[in-house]
Amino acid sequence: MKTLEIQNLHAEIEGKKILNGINLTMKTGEIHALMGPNGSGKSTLANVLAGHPDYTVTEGKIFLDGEDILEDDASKRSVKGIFLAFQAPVEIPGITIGKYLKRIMEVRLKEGERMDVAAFIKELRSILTMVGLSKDFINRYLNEGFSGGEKKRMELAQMILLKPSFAILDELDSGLDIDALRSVAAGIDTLRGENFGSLIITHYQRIMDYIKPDFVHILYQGKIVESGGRDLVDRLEETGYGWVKDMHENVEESDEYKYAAAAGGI
Amino acid sequence: MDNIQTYKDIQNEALQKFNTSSWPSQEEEEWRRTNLSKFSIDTYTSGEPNPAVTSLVTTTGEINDYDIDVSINADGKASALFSPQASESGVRLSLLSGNELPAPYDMIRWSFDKMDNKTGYYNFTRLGNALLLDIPGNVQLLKPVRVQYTADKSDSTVLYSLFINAGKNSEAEIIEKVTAAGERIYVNSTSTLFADMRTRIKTAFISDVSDSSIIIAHRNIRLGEESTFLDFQNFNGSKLSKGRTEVDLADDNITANLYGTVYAEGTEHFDIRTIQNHHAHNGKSKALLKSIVKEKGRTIFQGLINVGEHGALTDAYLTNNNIILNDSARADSIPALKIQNNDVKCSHGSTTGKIDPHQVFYLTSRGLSHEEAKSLILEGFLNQVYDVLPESFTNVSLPLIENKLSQVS
Ligand SMILES: Nc1ncnc2c1ncn2[C@@H]1O[C@H](COP(=O)(O)OP(=O)(O)O)[C@@H](O)[C@H]1O
Ligand SMILES: [Mg+2]
Repeated sequence: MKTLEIQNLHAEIEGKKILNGINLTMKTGEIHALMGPNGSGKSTLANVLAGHPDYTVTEGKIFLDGEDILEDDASKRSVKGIFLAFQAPVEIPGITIGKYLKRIMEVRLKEGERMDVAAFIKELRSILTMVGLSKDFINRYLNEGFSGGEKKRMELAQMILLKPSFAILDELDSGLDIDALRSVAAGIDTLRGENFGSLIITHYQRIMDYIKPDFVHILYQGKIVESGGRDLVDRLEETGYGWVKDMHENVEESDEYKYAAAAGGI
Repeated sequence: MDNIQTYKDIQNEALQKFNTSSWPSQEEEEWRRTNLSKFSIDTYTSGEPNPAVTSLVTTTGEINDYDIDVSINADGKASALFSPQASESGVRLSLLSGNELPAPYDMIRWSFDKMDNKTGYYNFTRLGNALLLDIPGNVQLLKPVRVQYTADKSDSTVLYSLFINAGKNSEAEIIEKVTAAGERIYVNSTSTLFADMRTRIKTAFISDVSDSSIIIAHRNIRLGEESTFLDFQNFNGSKLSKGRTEVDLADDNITANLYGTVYAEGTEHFDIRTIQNHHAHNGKSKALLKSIVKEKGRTIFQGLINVGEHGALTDAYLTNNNIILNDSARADSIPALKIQNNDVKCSHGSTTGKIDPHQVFYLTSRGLSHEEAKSLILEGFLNQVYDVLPESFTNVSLPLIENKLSQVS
């Protein structure tokens, strides 16, 4: 079992504070869902976990299996087992899927290890079939000219290939039809087990019909304001985010309040 | 004997024009961004130039990757190895001054008339030392033809010229490669292709010259009815590379695609011009040039689509994409359209920018190091050209760039 521990995480971009003290502990074997209205900071959290260089962590820590990974760049974190499926994957023209995937597998080889190319290609073909992409994609340029759904399937294929300890799926479900949603769920199911944990970011409840999370968290204004079980999803289903907003409207204000109090102003 | 006289006529004319003209100045649009006087070209041309080819020995034997493999050494000695198939096909290589073939006067005249500046005239002053590749009608060379020039003598000036006469319905891949490893070499090269009806010719011009050297290359191409044509140019090294590739779609239903790649670093200066001349109906042409510019490198791409009044149903594109690796690097893109027929589809587009940080993050988040990510992105950028080329072109050109791609920062 591995753990991913986020402690009091604050992050900003271009001087703008976006994450305001996130606490969350995940274990492999668990599936966590992170929900929240648009702009609440879900993608920011995903990017910060993956090591995006544009975000500055101003406070807090991230531990992977007890080891502080804040100083690791995105590449190191990836090799250590963190995977981010992008909300909007970029296109990289001129590089075929086959070549790209071979490279990202090669960087994971231990010293002296050699890649079994035939086995790799065989595995790759079966993964593509599993996620509903034709084998021809091996020779396509990475994400170039892919439909929205194809891009998401390609993200899923990479996750299955890399077998990360923790996968952060940033709205992998958005823009997908029911068919694609099913293959996403099936893909996650293939990895589901004691060596795999996942943070599924979404603002729809729909995906929960296919992937049953163990925990559900609600992010609002850069803070996790509610955590619970699947019943939270039902509550959102009925009432939307209105009650979250009503209850926690002053997340940032209360922070300021605390700050002012600590400074002796109030 | 008439033909020999005629090529000599042109040679004399060239000499006269060379003596009475001055080097292109920055007043001229094509040379506006390339100040030739800065490169003290006079010192290169004050002495006697080394003519391209002084002697030619042809043999037939087994060769692996080519049908014809020609090497020209620094003394102008050319040796050509023909595969038995090439030899039997009737393809001939000769010196223009030789008597073996009637020199194709029309082609030489046409190519010379394309020359509008002293660097071009200069090349024609040693016309007799040019090579002529004659591909008879209906001949299909299954393997490529390679012509390699090696100009390794420091402080020398070399004039190369290759004429290719491709008969009706012929097919061939022809690679010219110029290597100049010595210091302060001036390479002046002209390639002329006369392709008849329904030909399928692919040509490449690839240079690899030292940083103190200059290369000026003219390439004049004339295509006949229903031909398809592909061209690739790739300049490496040099303090100045000036290339001009002009294609005449001289008859109906022709397709011509021009590709090019450049990696500029240090203070290297590359100035490339392509001209797509549409003189007839239903011509399709495309130019795609890509450059990567680093340090104080500079690339200039001037493309022209020129549709004459008979160029109805022309479909022509012109694209230039540049990646700038640092702030001191510079890429200029100057596309132009000149259109005298209303029934055409022509467009151009150019992009210049840095490596997209979103792409870098995507790749690093999958485990590639920052450097690896960048070099993969650059590789992909160039692959959009290399992936459409014949393998033989890529095999000669890509190794010259590949090692630079891994030194991106
Ligand atoms: N690169 C950026 N520069 C400036 N502001 C940003 C940037 N990325 C995100 N933000 C801002 O941070 C907030 C949270 O955005 P995001 O994390 O994308 O939210 P979510 O994924 O929950 O919709 C938004 O107000 C957004 O405008
Ligand atoms: Mg988002």
